[in-house]
Amino acid sequence: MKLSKANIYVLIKNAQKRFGLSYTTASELVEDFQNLLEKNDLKFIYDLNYAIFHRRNHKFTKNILNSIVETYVYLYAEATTQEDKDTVKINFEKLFDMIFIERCQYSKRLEEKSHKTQKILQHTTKRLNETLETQELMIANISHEMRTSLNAISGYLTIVNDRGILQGEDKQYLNKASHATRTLKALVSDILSITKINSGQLEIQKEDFWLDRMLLKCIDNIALMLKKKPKIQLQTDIEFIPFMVYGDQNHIMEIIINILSNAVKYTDNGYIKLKMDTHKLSEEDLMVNFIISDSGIGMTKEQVGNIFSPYSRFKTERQGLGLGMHIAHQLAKKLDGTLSVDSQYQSGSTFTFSIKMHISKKGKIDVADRKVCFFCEDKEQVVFQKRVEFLEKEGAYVELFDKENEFVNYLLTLEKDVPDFISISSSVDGYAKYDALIYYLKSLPIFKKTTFIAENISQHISLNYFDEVYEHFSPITLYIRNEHKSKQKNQKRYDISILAVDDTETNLDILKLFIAKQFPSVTLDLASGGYEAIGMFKIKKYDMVMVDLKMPGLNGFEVFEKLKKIGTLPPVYAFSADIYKSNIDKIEEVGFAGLIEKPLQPQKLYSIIERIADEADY
Amino acid sequence: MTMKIKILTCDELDKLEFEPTIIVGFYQSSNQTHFLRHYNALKDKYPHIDMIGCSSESNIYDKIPYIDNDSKCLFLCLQLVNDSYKIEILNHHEGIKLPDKNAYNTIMFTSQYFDNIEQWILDIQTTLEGGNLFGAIAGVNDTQKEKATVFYNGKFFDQEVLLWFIDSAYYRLDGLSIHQFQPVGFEFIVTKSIKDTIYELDHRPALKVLEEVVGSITPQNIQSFDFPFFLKRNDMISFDKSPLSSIKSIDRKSNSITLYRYVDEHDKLKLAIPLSSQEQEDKLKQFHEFHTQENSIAFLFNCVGIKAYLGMMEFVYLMDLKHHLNMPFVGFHSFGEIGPTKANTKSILHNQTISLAILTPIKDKV
Repeated sequence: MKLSKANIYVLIKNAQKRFGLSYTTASELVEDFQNLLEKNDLKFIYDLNYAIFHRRNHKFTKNILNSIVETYVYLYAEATTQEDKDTVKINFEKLFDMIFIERCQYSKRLEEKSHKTQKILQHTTKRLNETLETQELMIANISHEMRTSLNAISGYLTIVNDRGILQGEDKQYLNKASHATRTLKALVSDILSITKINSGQLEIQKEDFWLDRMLLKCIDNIALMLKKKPKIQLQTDIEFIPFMVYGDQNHIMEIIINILSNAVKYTDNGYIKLKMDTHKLSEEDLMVNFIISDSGIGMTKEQVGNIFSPYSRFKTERQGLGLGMHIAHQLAKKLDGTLSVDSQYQSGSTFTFSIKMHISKKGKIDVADRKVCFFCEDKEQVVFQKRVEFLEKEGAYVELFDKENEFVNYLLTLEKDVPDFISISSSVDGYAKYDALIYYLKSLPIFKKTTFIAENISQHISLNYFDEVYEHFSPITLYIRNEHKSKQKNQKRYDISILAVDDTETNLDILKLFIAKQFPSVTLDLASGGYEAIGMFKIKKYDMVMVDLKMPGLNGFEVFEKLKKIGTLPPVYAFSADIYKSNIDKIEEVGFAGLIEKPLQPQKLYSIIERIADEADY
Repeated sequence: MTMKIKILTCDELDKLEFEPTIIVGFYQSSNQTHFLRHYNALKDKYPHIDMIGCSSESNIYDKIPYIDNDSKCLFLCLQLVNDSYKIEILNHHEGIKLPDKNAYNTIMFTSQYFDNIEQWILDIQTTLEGGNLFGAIAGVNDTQKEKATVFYNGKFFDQEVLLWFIDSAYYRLDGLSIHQFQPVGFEFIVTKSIKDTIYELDHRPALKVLEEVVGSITPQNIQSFDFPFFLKRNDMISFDKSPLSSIKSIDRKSNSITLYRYVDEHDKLKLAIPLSSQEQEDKLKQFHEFHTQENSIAFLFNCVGIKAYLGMMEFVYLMDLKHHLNMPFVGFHSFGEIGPTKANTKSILHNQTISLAILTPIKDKV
């Protein structure tokens, strides 16, 4: 088909208008099109196709499509013979086929490839998950064995250290061995935590607790680390709330302790500040923010970006493997909380952990009838101020002294309305002086019901007559006690019998040494296997039983079942290094009173024994 | 004297305006007679020329229609410096023979895959340290009706390897092999194999193992060169740097997979999946770095798998290459390509690559 001058003119004008081309470019384009129609030269089609690929513009492609249709309609109408009409038709079919149909076929092929790729990826993911599960199981088993061995090593090291028989160089070696064991224990514990989090085995255990008491426990946890860095001052700024909260205390503590430990690790002098504030979301919910800032070495932008990645530790000479912040971050996510960081290189860092907690219906503070007296040599202390404000708001009567002579004169001249609590924050010498004064006051009948509290004790001082001694601040729940408990209380109560069953001799040795050290009056009988334990249980009444779960012959669960059949069971605790959710679930399901973890955490064991002894007494 | 270059189709041979020293021809196997007739005509006209060639699945060049399924033959006519190249036709059952002087670049055309091809590739690069090596495999003679061949001065060879040694004192040969895949998933260890056929992967029937991952493999999948592998021979290199290899056939009776290359027991395989479209395009842009103002010619060896994958879109990529290279190119669709995947690394034999080899005269010498 030969285009007429009029046709060419119309096509050039259309191309100019539709694509904004110059007259020359539009003429060249139309000439290529003319060559397609007249000489079957495919240049026009190829160039058009390339232009679509090159531009990657949906509008442009649509414009071309519209232009093709328009031109076809125009030329088909203009064609005067059937032959010309056929030429137009054939060439437009070719044009359409090469530009659009081929492209659609290519897209279809890509889609098919994509399906195949998806299938490969699905299979790979499935196999990867299976492998991870196997590895996880392997890690769990290895960790179990490592924990058992570490339990023995650290236990024996503690005993040797406590006996004080090693001197000089030998003692240094012992300290180094203890230090290495602690590091290894922390690592095993971190690996187990990560494995548990990643495998969805992390068990959320919610309970009612007091936030300020929890923070005190966190501070206790880093106390030893802090003592090694005397140039750091730990500051607290706690907002007291008059009710308990309901949440996963242990994991929240783990996050806070991790951040605090990190702060101590990367701060050599200056301060570490622990702040807690709350925001009531509704009658049931509370948003709690824990803000931990320090004046440490801080982080660069790159380090901030990597801080929550595993093994992100950037100062290699510092202790640890860098898993702590990764665990804290993962834990925060699992608890539906957030953990963020803000840091200035060489100025310090601020970590903010925010979490929503339920307001518990238990343990509401009621201090309306309480009289509390504070003596603080440093009136500006934020901790005291916040507490005074809180107690006054809750209806307590508060007396506040900051001058020693006024305070002593007040105590010595009191005849009635004696405070229920007298809280003293002083200097090192001051505490010793007030300890003597308290000795005198306690001899007076009017002070019989008063609780004397020492707070903000920065150094270890031996105080004999204070009823409560707090290194940092006293918890708010102290003020709702009905009567104070003396420090020398109830030692005689721990007169109970315990049966411990474990096939590993070292575990039993350590258990025996730890219990004997803390509770000399507790009777501990040891059995090295299930049948031996059953025999002993038949002939003696026990207040508590501890059974290792993994033993040859009868395992812990089987021993438990057999003991149940003998008679009424005392609290039976599972003794195990396998702290996976599935194992914990099984322990609960069969009726164990609880789990005592290996390696042995003496404080936890002691609190269980104390509780059982208390219950036995009543 | 500069290097004179002209790419001509059969119909254009009378348009040659200079006397070539060597002509490189590409022809479909079914068109050998046609190609020979042109050779005779050219030889009559230019009695001193050398003419080498290689059969092809289809030809590629830098003019519309770029991929020439119909045209019978393509001729790259070159006027090179006298005595600046050597040509050897070697039977692959016999040993390799290399020039005494080591400063040669090499272009290698082989009619088909042969047992020692990878050793030859290694030997050439070890002996001729002064130059680079590129090349391609013409066909698969056990499946094709028409035997793939190489051509040298009037004769076709179906068991031979053609080695074209080009003096590196006069000409540079640079280039790259680019594929568009990435390794994925777990590696499989070849535990039983004979030649190019794998019978067991991880001590289990090979086909069964593979189909567990990719699903049922159809003849269409094989024809489309789906499911290529990365094949790792040496523990020192990563899968990323290992060559790609395609499946040639499967046998359900013996549960085996046959590749386009030999496989040894203990070789490791990983499945390859395509990169994203954007990554593919970005990777192809590496060719743009070869853009030159110099008088160069590019040889392009595209795997038949690339053609099957891209279809008509392949010419769009070729147009893009043409826009960016600023030099003529000619080549064909091959069943194996030889080239390096990164600059300054050794050339290896792959499948599913686009391999570009650029011949450039050295200024002061030519």
